[in-house]
Amino acid sequence: MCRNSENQSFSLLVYRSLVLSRKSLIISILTVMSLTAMFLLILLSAEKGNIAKYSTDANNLKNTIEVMRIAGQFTPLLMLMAVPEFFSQDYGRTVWRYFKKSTPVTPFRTAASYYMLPIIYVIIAVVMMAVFMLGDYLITGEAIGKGRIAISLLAMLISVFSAVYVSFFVQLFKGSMAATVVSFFTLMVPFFVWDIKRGLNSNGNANNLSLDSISEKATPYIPLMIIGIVLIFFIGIVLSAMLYKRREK
Amino acid sequence: MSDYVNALEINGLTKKYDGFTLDNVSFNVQKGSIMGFIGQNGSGKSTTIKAILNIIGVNSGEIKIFGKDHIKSEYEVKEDIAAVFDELPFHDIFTAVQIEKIMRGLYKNWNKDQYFAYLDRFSLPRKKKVGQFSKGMKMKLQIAAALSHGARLLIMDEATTGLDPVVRNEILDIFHEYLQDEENSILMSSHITSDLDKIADSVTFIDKGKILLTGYKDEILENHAVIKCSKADYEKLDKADVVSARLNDFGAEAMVFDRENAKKKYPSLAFDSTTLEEIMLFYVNREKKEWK
Repeated sequence: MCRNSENQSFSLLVYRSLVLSRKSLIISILTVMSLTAMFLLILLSAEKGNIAKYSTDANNLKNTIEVMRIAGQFTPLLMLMAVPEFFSQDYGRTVWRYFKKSTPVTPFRTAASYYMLPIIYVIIAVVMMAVFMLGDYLITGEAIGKGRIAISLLAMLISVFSAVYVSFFVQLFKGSMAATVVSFFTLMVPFFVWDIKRGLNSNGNANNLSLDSISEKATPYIPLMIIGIVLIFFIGIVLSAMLYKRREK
Repeated sequence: MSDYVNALEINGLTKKYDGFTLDNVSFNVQKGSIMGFIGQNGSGKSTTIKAILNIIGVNSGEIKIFGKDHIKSEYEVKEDIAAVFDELPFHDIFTAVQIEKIMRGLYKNWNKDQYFAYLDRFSLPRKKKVGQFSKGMKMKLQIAAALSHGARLLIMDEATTGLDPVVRNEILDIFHEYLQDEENSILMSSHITSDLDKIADSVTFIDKGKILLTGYKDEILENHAVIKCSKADYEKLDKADVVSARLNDFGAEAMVFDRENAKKKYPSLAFDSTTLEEIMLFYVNREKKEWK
């Protein structure tokens, strides 16, 4: 009987998900690359091209550059929206779920393999964010400060948390619609309530929470946010393993 | 040589659902043998198999695989088990080559050469999507995968259902070959009893979650017999000797479970040999005692 190091490798455990998700992965990468390129082109135009040339209002121009910066920097995180989809793949095919449980792959290994693709997505998103910031620097000449890195990490932290959170419910409710409903209400409703309260408390002047103030507040927490992202993934893996171990009724 | 006698031992397995109970199921699959697990749809065969594979939890009972507890040694014993379901577990977009990669990730003992040898033997295309395979091809592919990681216990859940007789025969031949190694065993659940008539060493009948009969196939077939007689003769039979009886306009067919004893008691009657299918039918109808 052949036993070789290639057997039971992690890459092979991920292989099935990769094949099943390759279309959405390719589409996500192409979309993010196109959007990043588009935002960089608009930024270039706003800085040195036609938008800059024909703009009559300096404030409008400044706003355009800021909006493009925000959009370009955070767009790669949209890729993480596809993460819960990986988890629902197993629930669409009952016989695969049964088959997999008949194999010697442990729940922790299974859960870790589930998270390989989301981690790849995060890496691609980080690369695309870095590409955008580099492009931004080359176009505008403005140095990338810690503030921008901090706000990117904060957005990443929120996105990773949301992806892992929704994925948890997808597994808990075995891919049913209940997962979407419950995760939406438990994740979005508190946010809306917080936002409405904030608006009321600020006497209609809710804009006091600017990106600059957030980045300023977030900067000291850069190392903690990196640890937080790793920790969220780890907790996600542990929860997935526990849910995988749960037996069918 | 391994030191266990039974590849699979089930004792007092109970699983309660709303409206169905798998009730105190016990049977053994001897090492080196093939056991037919027979029952109609919904009788509890798949539930038992899911319990063996620890896919479902149970209310009580003990399952030992290769002499080891199926939960405590779950991942160790699963290296040596192959489960074959009635449907291919892989999505239709995969090819046999891609399935090989998936399987390689699942088993330490995966044998790529053996898998491809089975593909060639079954004339299965390597690069065609399995969605384009016939049901028979899909089943052969599943069996090729099941037999390519050195499994010592093959668990088949209705795997031959829906296959044509030629493919079923081919598959039964492979099982014969697989059992040439006395360390290998098969538990084959099916309601197609003709396959089990041909291949099984022992059989277990299950109905409504309860085991009706379990033992060596030949002994069961020898002990049971069908008496074809007139209704008047049937009335004279001690009903305690009869499993159940099929009545028609011309007479009665009664199944007895102790042929020798019945022959002594009713020497004037003719006793016909029976099949697993008939045994299943007469036992399933045993509560009615008389049926048409």
